[in-house]
Amino acid sequence: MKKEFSVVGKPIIREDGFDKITGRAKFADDYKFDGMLHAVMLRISETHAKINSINYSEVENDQAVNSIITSADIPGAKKVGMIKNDQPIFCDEVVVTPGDVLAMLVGEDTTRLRSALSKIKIDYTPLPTLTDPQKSLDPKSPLIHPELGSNLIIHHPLRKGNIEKGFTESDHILEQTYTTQLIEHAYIEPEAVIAIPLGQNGIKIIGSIQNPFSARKIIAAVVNLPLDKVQVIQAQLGGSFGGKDDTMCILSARAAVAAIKVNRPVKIRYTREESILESYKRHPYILNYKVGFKSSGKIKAMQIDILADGGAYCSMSPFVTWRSVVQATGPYEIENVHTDVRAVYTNNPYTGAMRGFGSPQPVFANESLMDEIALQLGMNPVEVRKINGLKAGSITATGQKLQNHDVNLLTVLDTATKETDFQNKWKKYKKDKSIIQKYDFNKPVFNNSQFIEPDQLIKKGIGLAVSYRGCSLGAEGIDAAACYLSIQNDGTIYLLSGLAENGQGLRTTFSIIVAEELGITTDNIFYLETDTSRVPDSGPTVASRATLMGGGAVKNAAEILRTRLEELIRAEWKLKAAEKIIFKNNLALITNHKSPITFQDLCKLAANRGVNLATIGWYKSPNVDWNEQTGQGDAYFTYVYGCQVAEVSVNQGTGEVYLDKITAVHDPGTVINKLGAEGQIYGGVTQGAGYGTLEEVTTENGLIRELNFDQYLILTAKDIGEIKPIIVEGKEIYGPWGAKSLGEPTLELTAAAISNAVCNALGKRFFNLPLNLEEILLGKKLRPVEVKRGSLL
Amino acid sequence: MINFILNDLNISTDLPPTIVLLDFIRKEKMLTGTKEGCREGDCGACTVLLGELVKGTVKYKSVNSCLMPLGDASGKHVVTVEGINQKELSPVQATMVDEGGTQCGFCTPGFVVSMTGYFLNCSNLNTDDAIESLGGNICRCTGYGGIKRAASDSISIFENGKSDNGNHLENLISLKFIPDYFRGIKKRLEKISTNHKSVEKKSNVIISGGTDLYVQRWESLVGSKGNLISQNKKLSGISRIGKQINIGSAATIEEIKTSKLLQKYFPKWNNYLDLFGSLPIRNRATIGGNIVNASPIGDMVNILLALNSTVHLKDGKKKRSILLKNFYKGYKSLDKKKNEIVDKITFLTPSKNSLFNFEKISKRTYLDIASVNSSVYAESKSGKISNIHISAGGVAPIPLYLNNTCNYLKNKTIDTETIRNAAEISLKEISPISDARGSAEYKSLLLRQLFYAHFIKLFPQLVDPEKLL
Repeated sequence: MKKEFSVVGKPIIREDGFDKITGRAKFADDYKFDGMLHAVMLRISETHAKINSINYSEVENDQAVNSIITSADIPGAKKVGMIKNDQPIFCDEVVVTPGDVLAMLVGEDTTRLRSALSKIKIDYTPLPTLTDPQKSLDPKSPLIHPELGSNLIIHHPLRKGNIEKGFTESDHILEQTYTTQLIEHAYIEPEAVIAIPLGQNGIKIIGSIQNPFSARKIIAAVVNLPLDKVQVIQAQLGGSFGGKDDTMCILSARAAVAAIKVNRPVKIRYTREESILESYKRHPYILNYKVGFKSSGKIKAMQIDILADGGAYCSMSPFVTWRSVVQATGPYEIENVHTDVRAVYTNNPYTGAMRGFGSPQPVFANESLMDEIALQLGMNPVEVRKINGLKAGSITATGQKLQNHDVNLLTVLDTATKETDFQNKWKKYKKDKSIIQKYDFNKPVFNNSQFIEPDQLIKKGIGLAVSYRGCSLGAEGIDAAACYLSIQNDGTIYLLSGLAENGQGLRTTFSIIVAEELGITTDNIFYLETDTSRVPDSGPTVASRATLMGGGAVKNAAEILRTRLEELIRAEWKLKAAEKIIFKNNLALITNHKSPITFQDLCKLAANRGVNLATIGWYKSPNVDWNEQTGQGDAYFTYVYGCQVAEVSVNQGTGEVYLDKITAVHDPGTVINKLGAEGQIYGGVTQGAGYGTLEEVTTENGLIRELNFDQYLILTAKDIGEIKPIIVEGKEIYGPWGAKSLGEPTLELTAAAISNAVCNALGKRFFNLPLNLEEILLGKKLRPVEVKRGSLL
Repeated sequence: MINFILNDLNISTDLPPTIVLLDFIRKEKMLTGTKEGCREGDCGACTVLLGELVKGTVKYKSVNSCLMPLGDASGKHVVTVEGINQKELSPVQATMVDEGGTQCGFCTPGFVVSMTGYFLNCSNLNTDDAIESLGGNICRCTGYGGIKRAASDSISIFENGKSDNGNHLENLISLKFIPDYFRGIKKRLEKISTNHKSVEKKSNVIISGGTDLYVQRWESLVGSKGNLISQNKKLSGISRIGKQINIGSAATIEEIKTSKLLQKYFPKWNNYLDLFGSLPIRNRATIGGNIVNASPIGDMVNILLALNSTVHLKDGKKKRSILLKNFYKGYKSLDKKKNEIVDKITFLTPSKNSLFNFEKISKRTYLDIASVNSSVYAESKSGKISNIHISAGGVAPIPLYLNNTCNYLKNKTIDTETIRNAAEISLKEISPISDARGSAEYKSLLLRQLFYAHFIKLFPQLVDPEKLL
């Protein structure tokens, strides 16, 4: 029987809504402290260079410069990293990518500091550059980190069944190569952090930091202080999407080094250009797929080879590509699978965590491939997915049996296709005349002119994609989270999770869980400022794990305190075991008792009786296991499923793709925060649509061309059509009331659905993201040679 | 001294007029609700409202404070999100929260300001226009779903709550869209206006709006003694004298877009100009700045070229005129002396038998620079062209007038073959380069497509699309 909820799943407005809507919410750059100085970064416009010497003599006596901060000022670790310590805080020996920072100037006025930067003389020798990841493992290529002996960051193999046998048994074999592009997180708030020296008490950091505990670990290592002397406070975070992790750890460490040296608060605040230049991005992938299948549509074998460009630093590449190896086949049951995923170093901007985390790339490939299989067999996209799709008890590519939850892949597929009348539209649009096949845009641009009246140029298309996604960290690492909960004598509540609000609405979701468990309303709950000194380390807020893991801890804490309150009632009223207590409507209702007790009175009573109403809740994930040699094991303890249908109009004359409607059906388990969940879908779909059609960071010898929002285009309110979110709540034994993940699943499949829709419209398949004007018209990207700011084109 | 009203506060400052308004708001006044996201007018996080006395009432418009020189605030009412805040949330704010229109909250104040500006500006409300007014604000979290619903909900609140005999401002105040101090702004501005002295100074740096200049080099402008001319009343206005349309060089693109005079002559005028920049940019960008900026891909210049406009220059009392198509000498090089400023731009009213069309293709449909644009103005009788002007942007170092193509078409009768030949000639006149907006090959292809589109749209009876195949 489905539980009746009072607060869970209801549209509860954000607890931080008032502060944000009035502009009162304080973001990192909104803080100012007495005596605060600013730091600016010293860089060179080189992709790979050996630094011979840096001469600061011209700025040493500059009035604008209070202090020059170099690696000599670092008391502790000079190199850091999330997984491998390969990224210097200051790159004063060698620059391996253009974002690298050599040193900093600290002073009161950033404009004057920036002009002082140009007076510093840097003697360097350019080194050969490596920007093509396909050449990374070539012995003739330069090594990005010579001390590591190789440019290979990681190799994840996966072997299931017998691949040769699988191909032999297949009636058809299809081989394709897909590529995906480098993209930017494009959080609207650029990075900012302030370090405040506390003398003997260490250092306090306030910043736009996604993961305060990760930052604390790195800052402590760099300034050589114990963890308890590094207090990290998260300011309101103006968007992150996985992007304010490594960069912010390093920026915080730089600010800390400077603050300790000058003994004054030091702020670092990036311009948009610096933000795009230095921050990590989403990995571009080159994906080779070979698939063998029967004439019935049943896939017998899939061989996958994926190369990810990790850029200049390791960052999260091993984990990002690990998710890829687990999910690379897509949500299909395939007997024989042989996958290799490699991440390599280049001199390109480094790549790391971004919402989706190694899934949007393979989803684009495998969902394009599924449509190609369907077309080759004269089937429609739904049939071929039904034949191969994961069901309850299916064995995944990693050999994991799917159980303990509703395997709702086909349910979301059916819901989405029925909602959109998919099969009829797909057939109709496929039949409609398309000119793009006979119109060869590649060659006769100036030859025999072909032109069709503008209205006829618009063609409609519909396409779908499905995906599954392992929840939380899986075999990436230890997976546990904490929550601090304290009920005051008057019934009001302090709540603080070890996971961090990234703008997604975590504080509201957690407040709802407490309110539901204690039968109260969310307005009695005060969510405390995220501060590493107040709550246990709960791992990072990543992998769509906040509701599942953090929410689990919150529910645990609320259960502990509710149990104590129940025990108090039982003792006070001398209840029999059979008598039940229900917490609802701000009351504790006791069976057979006439008058209920209000929550407030109960808390007062608890205080008088000396009952402890503060606790730390804890949630630890069930065990997972993984064999690194074979890529086999129970990779994640549970999964979520989604299906999106994109409806587009394509202008065949200009290559413009109009996003008419996207229907997004997701099973995130139980929905705790309805408004938040729908918000995740709208936002994820829009980001995914940008990934599919528009967004791209391009580089010329490692130098980024799109350094601001005039070149790096994300969709505006006018560019995205209707989005229809539909939530299917599948059953799940883990998480708070079976709540799982939604943030990333909403983004990973949109681009694939759009590509399939464009293919349906034009009868022409696209293998390279994004599907921008030139890709659609000319079938290739023509890279700009030079980009200047403003209209200086 | 620069005098203006910031929210409910009278401001007098002797800071340089060339610093940007955003820095004044955030750093001097510590009003941190206004955010800095890109500093080039592409994100809208810094949007504020600018109220100005126009014919006895205060007109508000949204602007990007990151691209506005402080001096241009002189005599105006600047409204940040703090100036909208009241004890309780305004309907715009409340519906944004209720509908999930805010997530991380960084872009949120900009959206609140833009949407409030929409309500201040317009009494004929509809959701499409409201969303249009948000075209200069980008959000990475929400996918705009909640924001669009909030726009629609706020309109309902206004329509259901307004009193039919109350004036618009009173309705907005009584429904708490804006605080009641707005009521007194008009009188306060009248006082300031009479007191304030022009901040104009003789200077080599002439700033007429600054929406592109501040993107190119704000650091050098901030230190300069800029001559701010966009508020010069002598340079403003759009009028018709006899057969001549006059647009003062300080007229903004939005004034030109919404000009009833121009809309009368060009029925699709508003649709064309919808594709130019964003509302806050159009509210600040001036036609004079646009012409002198000499961007090869400028949208407004592209239209003016096809209207065979004349640029009128002045230096003190010295005046001279030059055809716009002869004004551009090379990349960013003008037939203009250092001390000359653009006084106005003029063109003849379209004749009875004339037709006009504008086409633009950009990577992103809205809020983006064109890859290629093109305009055509043609006078014809029974399909015979007597006068024609065609322009092409993004395909040469200057905003291009297609001289040879026009000459070829003059006195020709339009048919499919003629158009095909004309398109071939046009492709020989251009010299596109590969840049961020597309490859040379792609731009040539686009121009030809736009060229055909012009004539198929303007002469549907005479040009047979099937035969063009």
